[in-house]
Amino acid sequence: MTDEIHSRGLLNATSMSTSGGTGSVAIAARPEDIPEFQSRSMPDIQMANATPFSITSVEVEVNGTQMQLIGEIPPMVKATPDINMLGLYCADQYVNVSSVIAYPVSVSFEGHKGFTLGLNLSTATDGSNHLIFYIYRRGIFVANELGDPRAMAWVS
Amino acid sequence: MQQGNIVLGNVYVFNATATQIYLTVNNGPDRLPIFPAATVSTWLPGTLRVPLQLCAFPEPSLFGIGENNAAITPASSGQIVNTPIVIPTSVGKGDALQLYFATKSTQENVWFMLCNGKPIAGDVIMN
Repeated sequence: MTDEIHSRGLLNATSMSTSGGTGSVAIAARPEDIPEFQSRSMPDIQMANATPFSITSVEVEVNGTQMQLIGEIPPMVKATPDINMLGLYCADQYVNVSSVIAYPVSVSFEGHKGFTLGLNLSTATDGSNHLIFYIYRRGIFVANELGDPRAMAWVS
Repeated sequence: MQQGNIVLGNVYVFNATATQIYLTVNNGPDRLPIFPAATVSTWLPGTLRVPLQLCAFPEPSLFGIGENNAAITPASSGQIVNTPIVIPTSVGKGDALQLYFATKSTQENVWFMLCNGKPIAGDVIMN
């Protein structure tokens, strides 16, 4: 299993299972299956739409697979995503030597152009129990439960 | 740190402008470079210095409850701007403060202080 993780880098951030098969995406490991991961507390995530437009979806791409983190978020509303994407980072940090982990995150707005950016959260979880992703028209700002800035990414 | 003073928490400084600034707190010997986050498309806390400390009362290089003096020097102009930052007595042990700098216009910048994410002070400073 471990070799498969290293060679293919396939991870599942959630407890949901996905059917694998030839030529399709296989789930090699779930964060909760990794012993070291079980002892880590993973911060909760909330996403705040800090724009006057409705967000139709927030997606993350992992190893070529697009996953929807959350669907619609009305303007100026904070919501909890269906998938806690920090599981991706925690699991990837476990199986990869590289410390730089940035997944493409795509935000779609209703009737307006969205954006895709690389969001690196590899250090954002340090000392945080809760992270809020403030989504703006051109970027994402991440702060912890104390308001401390933990990550930022934007498109020009 | 002076006798009787105690550490209450941390002060994270975030520079959202495109200009490197230097921050001196309460006329202390430290001149802290604050990375300009707007110059890159990604930012992580690793590019930030160790957070400043919040103490019971102000001291050189340490924020404290009450009136503090922040000397801000933009690298672009080199001109020092002194601004008082008053931290209210409602702030206490375990609280986290955030000092954010942002661009207001080509002539002005703005700073605002937050406690646990809620604004508690702020002002406009000239470039």
